[in-house]
Amino acid sequence: MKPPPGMAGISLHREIRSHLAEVDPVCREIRSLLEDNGQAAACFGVELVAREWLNNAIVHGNRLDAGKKVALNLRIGRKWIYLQIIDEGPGFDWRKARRASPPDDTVIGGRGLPISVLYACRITFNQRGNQVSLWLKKESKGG
Amino acid sequence: MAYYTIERKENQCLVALQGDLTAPLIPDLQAALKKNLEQGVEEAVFDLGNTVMLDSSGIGLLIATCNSLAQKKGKMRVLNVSPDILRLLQSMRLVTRLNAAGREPGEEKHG
Repeated sequence: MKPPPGMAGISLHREIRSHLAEVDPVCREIRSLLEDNGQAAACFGVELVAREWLNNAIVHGNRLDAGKKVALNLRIGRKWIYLQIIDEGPGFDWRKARRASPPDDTVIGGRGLPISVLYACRITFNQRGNQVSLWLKKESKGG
Repeated sequence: MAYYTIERKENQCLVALQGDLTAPLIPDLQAALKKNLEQGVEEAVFDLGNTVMLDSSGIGLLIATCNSLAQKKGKMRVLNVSPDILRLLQSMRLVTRLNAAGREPGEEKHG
């Protein structure tokens, strides 16, 4: 899994094994990169969305198969923070997930996508459903 | 390594998180909570004063605890929630359900 074209500049590319314990170190790197580049206010949203999709990729995508990897690409662009997460699983039916109503307040799961919609301005999936790309608004100067 | 403490006082338990309430912590904390609920806890108080991040797995654990307590007419509170987490819970319409309250001014934590 290689970083996509156009990932030059302020960017981060990481590949992790399918263990939930590997999510925290990547998220710490994301936080540091954002803070070091004047994006402290965006940290919570970006880290949260990254966590949601890394967790999904590990648990539902790769089904905790330690032999399979999850790749994360992050780029701080001029206007947007771009996040891409790719797993090696069969993919999920993102069309069906997008049509689903948000869970009510007694339902335990199913909040990954609704949370992402709160923070990301644009979310796209590949056809197979094992790659998600998200665009989050960058903190404006003085904002 | 424990990332939380559970202090038991009769039928109440205080769960103090030492860090984030996210997916890697959930299985261990869930088992500890289940044990306490089975032993008669009717009120759970979560202190998120040291918590910077709450993901959907953490939200799921809070809702599951709330559901279990509701079945025995117990109650739950989530205290010292950071502004970022409070905004998340407000957006997900969970503040009332989880009985969540923000930190007092001057108690801001930085991650």
